[in-house]
Amino acid sequence: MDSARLNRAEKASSVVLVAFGAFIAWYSWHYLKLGMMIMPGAGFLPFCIGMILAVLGAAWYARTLLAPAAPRKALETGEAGGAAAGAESARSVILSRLLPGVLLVVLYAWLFEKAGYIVSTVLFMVGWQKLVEREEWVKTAIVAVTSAAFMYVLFARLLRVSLPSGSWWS
Amino acid sequence: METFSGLISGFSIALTPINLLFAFIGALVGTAIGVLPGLGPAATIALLLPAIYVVSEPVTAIILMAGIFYGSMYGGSTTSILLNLPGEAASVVTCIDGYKMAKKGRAGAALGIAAIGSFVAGTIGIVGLTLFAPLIAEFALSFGPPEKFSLAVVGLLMAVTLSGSSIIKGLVMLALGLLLASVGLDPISGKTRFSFGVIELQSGFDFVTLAMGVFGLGEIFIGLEAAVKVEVATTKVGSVWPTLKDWAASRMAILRGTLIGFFIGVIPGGGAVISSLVSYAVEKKVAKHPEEFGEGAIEGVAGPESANNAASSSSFIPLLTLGIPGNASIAMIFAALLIKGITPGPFLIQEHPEVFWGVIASMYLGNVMLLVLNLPLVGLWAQLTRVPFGLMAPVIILFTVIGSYSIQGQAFDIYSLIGFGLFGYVLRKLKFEPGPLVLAFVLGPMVEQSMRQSLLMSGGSFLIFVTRPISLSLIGLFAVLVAGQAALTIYKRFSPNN
Repeated sequence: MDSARLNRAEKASSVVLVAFGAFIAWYSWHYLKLGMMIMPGAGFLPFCIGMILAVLGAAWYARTLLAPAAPRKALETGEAGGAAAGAESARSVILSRLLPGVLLVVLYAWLFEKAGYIVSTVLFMVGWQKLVEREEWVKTAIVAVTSAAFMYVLFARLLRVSLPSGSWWS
Repeated sequence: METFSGLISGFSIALTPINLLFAFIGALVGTAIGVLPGLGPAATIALLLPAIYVVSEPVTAIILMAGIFYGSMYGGSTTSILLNLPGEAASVVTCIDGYKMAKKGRAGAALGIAAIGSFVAGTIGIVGLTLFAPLIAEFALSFGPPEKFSLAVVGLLMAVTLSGSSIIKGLVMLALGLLLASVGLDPISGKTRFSFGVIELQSGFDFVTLAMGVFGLGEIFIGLEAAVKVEVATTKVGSVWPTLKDWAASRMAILRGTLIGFFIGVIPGGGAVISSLVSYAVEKKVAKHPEEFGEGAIEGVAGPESANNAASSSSFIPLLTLGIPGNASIAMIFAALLIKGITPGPFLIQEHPEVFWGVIASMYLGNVMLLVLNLPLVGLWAQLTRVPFGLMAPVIILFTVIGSYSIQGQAFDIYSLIGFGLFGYVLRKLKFEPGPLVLAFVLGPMVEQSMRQSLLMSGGSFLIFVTRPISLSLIGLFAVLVAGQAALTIYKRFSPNN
């Protein structure tokens, strides 16, 4: 992430942190109750943490405001083009690798108990090799089957972990 | 004498076939995973944490975790030297001269001196741990709730202020770690906190899931985006035995690094990082040819590697004697002890002497195992650094998903894992260091309980934390350290040489 984008992301995150801290403090005070100083209630520590988070968020925002900005001249000249190209490339990597990767993991989690360990793992590995790594079918099949088998032997046989057989099939 | 007899009983436990086997497995697997590019000791331990559920004996489980910790530290040196890719901040300085040596065809010498230095420093560090830990534990027996609270809070704050990264961000991590630890049933009032009607949240977040998500999955998501093609300097490492010239240049660096690492490593927060940096600076200062530093000076590998391994040994002192983990890796061993029903702290040596002495004795043996494993097998570890990310990433995801599911057998833990993974990804993007989050999460229950007990003792007055001598001394020590660091920063900023 280039410094200008990081600065913008930090500003937005610090505002979110202030709001989050305020929510935690309000929730702790309203629902969990603070109790008395001699006998603090369930909400006392979370209330303090919420207040601290809000203050830290404000301090973080102030610090990002005071941080030196990228030199204007550099932005007006060649570096502006470079930064734009960098941002474009980062966006492309996110769309081509990170997003499919995260979605595959979520799908794997959803299928894990429903389709069972073997089917969900093989499907996940195939999806990963094809969508994230763009591998050819033969290599994809070999990697998917061997890694699913290796993990099965390791967890189910050696470590005796109970893996789901799939609620769809039972 | 008590120490000696304790150590003898520790060896009788560590030398049983099952404990020897698990120490060996820990060292081997820790090294193998620690060698994989991008995975530091914290990520390695996080990935392997579920293994403790399949080991029934607590002492065996902790011996396994200690072996994994040491193994991953060794593995981290290999990636620093061969790939210029430090697995953690403590290995950054090893890259400077280690990678240069590898590029000049001296990878074997760099890996060999790193292994020998680590062995010497690790062993001396364990001797220090053996001698000092019982004394500190005895002193800490007098600690009541106010002292425990001050110790935990000062330890957490030191972990942030001495880590060298942004203090505001470090404090945010601490606060979020404490907040995550408070989710679930309040142990005193029995009220449910922040579960929002989700039944699985009533027992709180699981540490293993959090650690695997933030360190394991978060690292993979970042790796996906970065898609870095690492350049392996060489996989032909040659002889790992240092020449007489190498040995002459390194032996004092190893000893100095050991002393620096041991004493700095006891301090919570960045012990291994600071000690490796200090060691590198000292070696450069005392070197006859300082201009060779940065160009492949063997002292630049020997000193910092010894320092960070001595620090790894001494970082067990606050864990085993005070119940305070000083860094993320040690926090995971802390959590492993808790999972096995053992509370680390001053009572550990009295209530569970077999764990205390068994772990210390196994560390001596584990260090020898690592030397034996690392020198002959260094070529194999070098080959492992070539495992492509495209293969490593999905296999690690399988590890984390199956590992988190195996804890309670519920899909909710997998969703939590993914949530923590995305959280870890965002933290890294915003330049947050996740270590303090994990530290605060494991210490959270102790902080809250000791604070509430202290307030009950004092009739609701916070003054109790500054009116009891030990508590006041801890706070004073922290204030002196912060003032010293601030003075150093101001001096550097206004120094005429700057």
